[in-house]
Amino acid sequence: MILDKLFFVLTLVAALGSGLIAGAFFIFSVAVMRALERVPGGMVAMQSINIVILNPMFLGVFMGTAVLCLVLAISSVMRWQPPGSAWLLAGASLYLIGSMGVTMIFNVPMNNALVAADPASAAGQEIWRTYLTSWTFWNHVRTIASLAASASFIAALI
Amino acid sequence: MLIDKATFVLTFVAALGSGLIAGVFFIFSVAIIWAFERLPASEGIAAMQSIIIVIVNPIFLGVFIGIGVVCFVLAIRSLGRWEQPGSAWLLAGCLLYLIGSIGVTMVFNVPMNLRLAAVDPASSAGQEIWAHFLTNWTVWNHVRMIASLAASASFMAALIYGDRSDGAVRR
Repeated sequence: MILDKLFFVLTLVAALGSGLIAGAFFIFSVAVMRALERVPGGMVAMQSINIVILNPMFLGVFMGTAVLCLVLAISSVMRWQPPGSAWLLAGASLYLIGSMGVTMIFNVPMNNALVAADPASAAGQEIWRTYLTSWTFWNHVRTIASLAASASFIAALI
Repeated sequence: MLIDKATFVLTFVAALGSGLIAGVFFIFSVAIIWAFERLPASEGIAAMQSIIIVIVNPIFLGVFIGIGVVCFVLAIRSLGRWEQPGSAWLLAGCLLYLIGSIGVTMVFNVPMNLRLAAVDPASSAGQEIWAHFLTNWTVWNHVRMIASLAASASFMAALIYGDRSDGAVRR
């Protein structure tokens, strides 16, 4: 009973956390990238975001939700009880693969390349142009995955 | 299920949408504003001005205002089915979003946005407005972030309690 309550609260926190992360990615997809594309200092501004975003508040929510997902995925398999467990496993997988996995495999290497580039050089500008399309594409993917994870966790709660 | 289908779907959408909007404000509070503050003032101002212009688009406003409309409808529904479980959570979520997210944005953030969008980033007057923006806009951004997140949690509570006649959680 205590364990049920605990997992219930963890699922609620995971629903809120993945929703927050979905919104963080969403605004880059629908406003920030296009806004930075329009200004001469856009590349420097994005470099600054990539440096500042590595802070305890953002990483705490981003990684913390992933840890919760891992715990919830394992518990859902060990205490399989459809349909709640299926929603729980779906939400956890969507977040771990579609949000965390996509970020690590696609967005982070592009972030590192951008931060290392010189905005004044032609090579740097080339990296920025590629970044604007490729990074943004994978950002759409992780926005949708995080939002779908949040929806799955809400479905698991009700 | 006691909660009717339409109210259920709208509450689900409101829970997701207010969570999404909370995340938008969250990333300004924990990264974007600091990132722009570190830049030379004229560049930081130009980047924020560009966001203020571009964010007024159908996708962002569709979600932000659309969830406001859903909240308005749900607030009326919650009063109409007040004796049903979950109605207080439903009304709480609606009020948190309508007042704490849309209301705060309109009363505090939008006027500051308009003022910043009008300045010359290279001028000293512009930089004074930027310094003011960095503190005051960010405070109200924290407020609307917390209100939107609390709204999302309230909608989830309304969904959890809403389909139980005794108001008890299923597990």
